[in-house]
Amino acid sequence: MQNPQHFGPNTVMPSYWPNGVAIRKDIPGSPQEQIEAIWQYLLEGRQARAPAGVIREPLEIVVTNEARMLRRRYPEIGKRGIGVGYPGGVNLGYDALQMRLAMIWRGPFVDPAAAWYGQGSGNVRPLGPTLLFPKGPELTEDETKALNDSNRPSSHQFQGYSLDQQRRPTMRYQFESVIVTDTFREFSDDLTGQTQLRRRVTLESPESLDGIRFRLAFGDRIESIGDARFRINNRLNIRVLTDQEAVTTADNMLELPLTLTPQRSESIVVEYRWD
Amino acid sequence: MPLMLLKTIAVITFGCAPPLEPLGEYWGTGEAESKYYRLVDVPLPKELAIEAGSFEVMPDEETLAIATRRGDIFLAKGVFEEHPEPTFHRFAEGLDEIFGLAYRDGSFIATQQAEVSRITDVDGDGRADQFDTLSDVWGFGNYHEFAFGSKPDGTAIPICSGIRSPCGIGPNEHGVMFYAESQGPWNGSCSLKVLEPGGFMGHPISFPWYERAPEMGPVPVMPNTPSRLEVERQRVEQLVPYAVVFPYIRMGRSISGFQVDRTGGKFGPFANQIFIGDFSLGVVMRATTEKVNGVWQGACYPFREGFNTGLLAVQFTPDGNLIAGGTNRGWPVRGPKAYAIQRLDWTGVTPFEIKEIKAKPQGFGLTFTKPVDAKIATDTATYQLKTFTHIYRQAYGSPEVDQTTPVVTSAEVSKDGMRVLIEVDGRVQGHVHDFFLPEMRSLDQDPLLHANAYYTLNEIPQFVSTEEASASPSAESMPYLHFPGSEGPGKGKHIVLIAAEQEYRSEQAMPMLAKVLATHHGFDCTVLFSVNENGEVDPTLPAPWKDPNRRHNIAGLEKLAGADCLIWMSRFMHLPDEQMQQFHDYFDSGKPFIALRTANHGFQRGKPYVFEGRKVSLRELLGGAFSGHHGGWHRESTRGIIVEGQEQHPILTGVDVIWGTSDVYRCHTDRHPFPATCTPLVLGQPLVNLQPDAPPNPKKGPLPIAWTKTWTGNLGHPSRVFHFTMGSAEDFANEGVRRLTINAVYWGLEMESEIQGSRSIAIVGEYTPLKAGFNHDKLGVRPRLPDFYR
Repeated sequence: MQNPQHFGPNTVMPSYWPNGVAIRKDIPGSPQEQIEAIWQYLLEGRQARAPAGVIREPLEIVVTNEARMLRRRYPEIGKRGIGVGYPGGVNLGYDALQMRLAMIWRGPFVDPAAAWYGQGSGNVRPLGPTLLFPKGPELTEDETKALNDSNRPSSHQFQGYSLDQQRRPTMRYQFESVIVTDTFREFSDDLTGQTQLRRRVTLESPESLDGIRFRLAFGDRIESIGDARFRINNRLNIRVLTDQEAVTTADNMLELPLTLTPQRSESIVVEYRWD
Repeated sequence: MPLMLLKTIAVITFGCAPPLEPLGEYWGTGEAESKYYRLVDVPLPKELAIEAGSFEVMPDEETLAIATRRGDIFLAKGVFEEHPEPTFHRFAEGLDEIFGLAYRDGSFIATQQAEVSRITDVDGDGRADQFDTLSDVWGFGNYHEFAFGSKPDGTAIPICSGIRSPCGIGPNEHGVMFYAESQGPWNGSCSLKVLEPGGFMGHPISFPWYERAPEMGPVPVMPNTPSRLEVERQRVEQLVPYAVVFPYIRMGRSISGFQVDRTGGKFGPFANQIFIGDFSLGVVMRATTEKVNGVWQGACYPFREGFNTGLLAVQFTPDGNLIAGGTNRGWPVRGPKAYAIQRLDWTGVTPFEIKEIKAKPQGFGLTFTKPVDAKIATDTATYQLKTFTHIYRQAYGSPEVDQTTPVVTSAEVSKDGMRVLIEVDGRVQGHVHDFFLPEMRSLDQDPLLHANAYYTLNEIPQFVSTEEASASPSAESMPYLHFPGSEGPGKGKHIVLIAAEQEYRSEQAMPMLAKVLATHHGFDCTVLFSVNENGEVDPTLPAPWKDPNRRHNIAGLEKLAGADCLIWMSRFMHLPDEQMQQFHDYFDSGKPFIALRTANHGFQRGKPYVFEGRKVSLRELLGGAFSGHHGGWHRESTRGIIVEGQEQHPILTGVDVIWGTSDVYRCHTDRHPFPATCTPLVLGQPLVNLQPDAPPNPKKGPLPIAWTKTWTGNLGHPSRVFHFTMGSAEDFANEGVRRLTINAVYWGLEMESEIQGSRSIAIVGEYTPLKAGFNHDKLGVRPRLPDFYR
């Protein structure tokens, strides 16, 4: 090990301890101890496993011309997270326990290494700075206090999703008797040329319902900048394209009050813009 | 974090990571095993990282679906080829740790870590586009909680509590749901356990969730720790003992996915046994179970070592080989590969093995795969027997404790040398009985390939042999139905009814007929079915098979040997030789057979019936065989016309209108005219449509559809034979069809004097016959457990 050429003059095996000095200064122990450690490792024979740190490469789920998804544990969501990366570098994390948009970010999609290597104990890591949305279901009744914890709401049930031709999901869930679909699409903004997110939520109710609300955002600073546009904490612009009137509540929520009537599908279209 | 079993879905709780230590010696038998079972690598493309968590064979029987820990579902073609060079197609991605996969009605049912989902390719482009949440009712606290299993209908029902860290779930060889439990807290070693409804599997951490599961009843008494399971099960009423303990390290360290060998012998001599993988040691083992005094128990046996990775799932292929795969990540694993899929092929050479151990009142019964050397096998010193148990405690695992050495006092070898009955003094209830037979030799002096086996003796059988006990099968454990006879002229007589066809819904008609015969007439009735490898009644299995090496399986056909009468409806069954032999023995027995509709083409290929040195066709045996549809197939119904002069025949007593939707079979031709040895009773007139009052088709005359004859087989005993070429489930809704068939049973048994037109033939319970046909999906026909037809 110290001088392979001593045994085979033509071998290309390098010595990691030329002249009895370790090349790697960051590994503790004397050269003899390090060689003994390798020997002990090889004694394991076929049982020997790749040592920790040797094979872990950073991973990235790369999004090209189709959306990609990964259901797994995400920071700020928990186990029932659904990450979606869209072509053009916009991404979101959806919470299928609480029925809410939990986060969005720009850039590459995710690094799943902590969930895909080892026991899989870690979170999927979004590969960009995330903008977070509040905990608790987005669709609530007037008197319902927004959840600030990570509990499962008893009034909401996730029902799955379907994919379009570009593999973009439409989430489905039920809120009491209201059937909700929730679709995001990337779009290129004519003004800036940047890719942004547009969202369409549809609600169908078998009965007339008044006083339910759809939460759009939370922020210490919510500015109305005209044309149904709102600037949240100076970081994110939200634009409502449908004709609901967004209101800012006393507890700093930007919300859409809704009135549902039977036999009529209510739609909400919203844009999330980083500009 | 509710800890419950969801109707055939285990929700997994936490477990501490096993401590790091050497993983244990190899058995050292790998090279010898390879002579009998060959490991075939399935090459996997590196970029796909196929970390198999669950398998399913697709209906085309050529494609293997592989669900992975990373969350993909792949469709692989070519895995079953002799030298596999498979291609992989990604059907779905982005899912979460899939450990259960089934394909039903055009969709996958996938058990992910936090959800059971139905996954469908709606637009038919080969990729999934619809993901429906069937259930996600369970909570989730820790990544360590894995969910396994499949085949749910979307309703979640708490079944059991106290599960620790299972890694496999499925039916045992008797069709009862079991799961594979790992060593850890409250589990001294790995074990197979029965998922007894309402049962407590031993880990009291689930007690807080009983309030959320009222169907589970009251919270069990808290078990003491440290104790013994055998002691605590006297105190804790709901506590279910381990059925088969896998001694730690010697028999795996983390037993995982398992499947019952339903290949009918294509995988060697271990048909209908459980094959189970191990994650830590990369081995596959065998297990057998039996129910003694109402408690499940059984044995495990070493089988094959040397897999390349930690095994998570196993799957039998249509060719009767075993696919095994998994990963080595996260926990210590002996196999060198990060992930792998391998196939284990039987080479066709039978190893000399302990095939099965069963508990007997006086000791144990051992079955071997080959005849034993009688001299060695009768020597009691050949059987080195020890016992031990584990501490039942909250702490992690347990050493083996309370060792004893029982004494084998006698060993009796059966005539064929395949079985040995040993009498044992000093058996210990609740202990693992550790068998070691290093000196045992086969007749040709081979040593055992594996000299060890381990029987978990929860209960010692009463002085009734288990064969006798199993003669009154319990509904849950047998892949057939039994209807005990009530009072009536048939009391004491046993009728076997066989439903083994794909078109005419005999799986509905035969249980109905059995209930009528048992309830109104007193006959003891057993209904046997053609079952698939899951033990399900499966009319959707192709017949005949495309692959001549495949076989059908009529489970429980050994019941035929004890039958007094056979009501038989099969179609193109290609049966294993031993099952054909059971039919042949019956044909020789002198007992009557009532053959319905497709029975005259009831077999395809298979061992022929030989009489006086020549093969006997079903045409000869029954007096006619299908030669074409005389009436329009599925278009023209049949009206029965009683043959002139036969009005007084006992079989026709009380028979009025005979009508049914099945068409008239042509069973006789110029070359094969109606035999002079047969007596025609009923002619069938094709009607112009499927209505009972339809006019006859004027272009088609009546042909014989019911006749009697006698068959005398190799033993010289004459059998009374009645062949009736009607017999679809819809036909049996007609009283005439039912009475004719039931009268024929009395006639066959020479009980004509008991035939009365006034005896009830009323249907017992509900009867909603499905239409005949092969479009099973549309007609609502799919594989179902026998109990569905009860």
